[in-house]
Amino acid sequence: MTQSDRAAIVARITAWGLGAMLVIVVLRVGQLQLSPGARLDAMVSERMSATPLPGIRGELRDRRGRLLSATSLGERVFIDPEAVTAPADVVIAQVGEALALEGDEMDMLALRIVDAMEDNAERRAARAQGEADAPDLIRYRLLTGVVDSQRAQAVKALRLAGVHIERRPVRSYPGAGLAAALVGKVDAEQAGALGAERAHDSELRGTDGRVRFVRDARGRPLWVGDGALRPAEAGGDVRLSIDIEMQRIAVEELERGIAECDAAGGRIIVVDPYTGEVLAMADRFGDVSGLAEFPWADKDGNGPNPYDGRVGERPRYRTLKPDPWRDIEPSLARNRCVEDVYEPGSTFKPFVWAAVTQSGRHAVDDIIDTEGGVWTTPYRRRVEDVTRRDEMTWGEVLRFSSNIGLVKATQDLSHEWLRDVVVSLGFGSRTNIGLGGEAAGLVRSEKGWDKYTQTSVSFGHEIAVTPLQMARAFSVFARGGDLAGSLPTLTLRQIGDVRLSLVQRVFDPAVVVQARRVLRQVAERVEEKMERREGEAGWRYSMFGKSGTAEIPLGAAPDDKRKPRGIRGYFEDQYNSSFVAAGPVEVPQIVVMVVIDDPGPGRIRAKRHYGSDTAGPVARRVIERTLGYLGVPGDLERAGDDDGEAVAAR
Amino acid sequence: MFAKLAIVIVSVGLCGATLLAYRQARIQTVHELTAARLDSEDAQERGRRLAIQIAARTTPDAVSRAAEALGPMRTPDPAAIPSEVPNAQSPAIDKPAPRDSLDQLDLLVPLPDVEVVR
Repeated sequence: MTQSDRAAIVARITAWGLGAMLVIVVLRVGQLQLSPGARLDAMVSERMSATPLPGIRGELRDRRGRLLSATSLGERVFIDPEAVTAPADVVIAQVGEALALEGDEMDMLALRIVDAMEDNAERRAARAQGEADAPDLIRYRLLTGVVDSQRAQAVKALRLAGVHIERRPVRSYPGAGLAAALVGKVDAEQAGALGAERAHDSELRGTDGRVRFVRDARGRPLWVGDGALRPAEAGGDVRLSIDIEMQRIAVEELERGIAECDAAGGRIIVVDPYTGEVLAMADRFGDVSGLAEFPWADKDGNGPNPYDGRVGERPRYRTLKPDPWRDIEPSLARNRCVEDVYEPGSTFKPFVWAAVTQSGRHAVDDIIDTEGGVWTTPYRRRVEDVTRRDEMTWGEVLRFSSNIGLVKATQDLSHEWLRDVVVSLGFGSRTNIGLGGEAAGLVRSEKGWDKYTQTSVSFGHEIAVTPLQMARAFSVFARGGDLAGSLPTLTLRQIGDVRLSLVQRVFDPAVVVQARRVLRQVAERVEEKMERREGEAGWRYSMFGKSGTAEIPLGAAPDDKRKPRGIRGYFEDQYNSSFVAAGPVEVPQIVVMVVIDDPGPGRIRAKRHYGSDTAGPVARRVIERTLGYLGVPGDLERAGDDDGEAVAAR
Repeated sequence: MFAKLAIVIVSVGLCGATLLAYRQARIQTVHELTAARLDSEDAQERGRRLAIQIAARTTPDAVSRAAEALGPMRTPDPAAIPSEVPNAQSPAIDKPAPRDSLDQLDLLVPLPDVEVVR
């Protein structure tokens, strides 16, 4: 073998050796990539972290885009007891100082840290003894709720091993203070729990994402691999129909009305009659002290006389259901505009009047015998009027709210006909506006509708409605053009324009115009009273509307109790006074519904508890301020001449 | 033969190195994209917090309080407004006044206080 042959053999062996080594290296790399051993896997896993990326919930805005509720990321401090290297007392002292905790809060922090570390020590001991069901070690224990970013930064700056900051979504309600019950609330999982948050939850809700990354030796994010990021998807924004400035106007005037009337509460709704958008909705409790619980009698009916003494000297009973959550958190308050029903009283008369007019039974100028204000029906039921006259025109029957005129007009009409009118106006059915707990109201069934019901309903008794239903129904008088006399579909969402949908016309446009004219005269009486009593005048906008005053039902007696003997089913001299109005008269832009719950004894004694004295001024002021805010041209203007006569601008 | 084998080994090595470099570049890109995305989300988060702070300070109540704190509203005095307002060609506005000295402009004159009508 020559030297060159030997060299060739060595070269070949070397080449094969190197080639084999290369193949082995490639195979090993492949094995490490595809199927690493348990040890390597554990090491790599320790260096991999996964962080959830919260899907930010969409924003709720008012109709002009003002932010009502929005989600941002808050920061919470948590501990990984296994990674803590410093002694527990050092961790407690430093974290507590960074968070500026004192007293009980500091004790709570210490308890959480010590608990987590002791729990882990026990679990570690259990594992060492080989217990099969030993629980996993704690790697996460929350130390705080959401803290401000300054404190979170202070904790981060400590660089304490095992003490970390996590981000979590926090819902803020920067502009929802006045409309808390409408906007609602989210729960701990950021899902809509109440109000609009709940109604639009599916649109608002975001989808969480996730990012996995490799950490360096200090635990800092080092590397994000391909496919390791699943981005979060934000939820959609929703614009509500409410206008927070109109809400402010409504709340201010309602609170003023409640205070002036010493009332137990009040409710107000402002609606765009054309689109059905709810522009404002509020209910408030009055600041009334010394209310007494109604003294129910025992099962035999024995008990004290609840009405011993004159108004003001005897107890004033609590007529509103208590709402303890209201003071704790406004968004948890019962929304009495949609949940609590009341008897509408005379505010119901325009509907009956318009239906009778449309039936052709009476024209506006027909003379009705109103019997001097006291009359007994053929079935021996006594009916009285507040304004007592021998006769009235059909228009005056509505203007002066004559019970007798309306009972006479409806007593010979069929029960089915009147009930159909009531149902077609939406009474007895929910508006389905999306707010929880909405009441459907009470309308007698066809079977239970007798002659007593026929009489009672004609002047707004024996029927229970929500203020929202009443605002919807009154919109039939406020809608013009092709929509005149039709019922809108109410919505809590901004739609901006009239919904294209089939419209069921309840009243003819001609009847609507006639009703508006009469109801304008009713509203003028409110304005006259306001000018006479308060000196309030110079209105820029005309309005039409109707007042109502109804006694408040006692409701069901508690268990083992009953109504005292000789007592009717109503609180005596305690009323729901209401006013429903719209303006301007020619082209109504808004409908305002106001209920003043239980005006005080002073008002009762002075006979100023009626809807036109209590709720009427509130509606008047809200219409004036709201239309001004909307930039609607005033249709009433004071002439600049000496006599100061009011003239119609158009 | 040796030369051929050496070429094969070097080629395989180069291919491997190229693939690794390519993979590395791809991971680097993904990493930077992710980092940029997370930065962008941080910026969005800062924006959200600012929006909430602005909304909380500009509620109708807050604006109303701020307006009241400014004192009575003033309306322009017609007599104090020049009959001919300088137009764009006027030398008076060729050189805009600094923002902090607007009160030196002739158009802005002390105005009488009037009652706020609410």
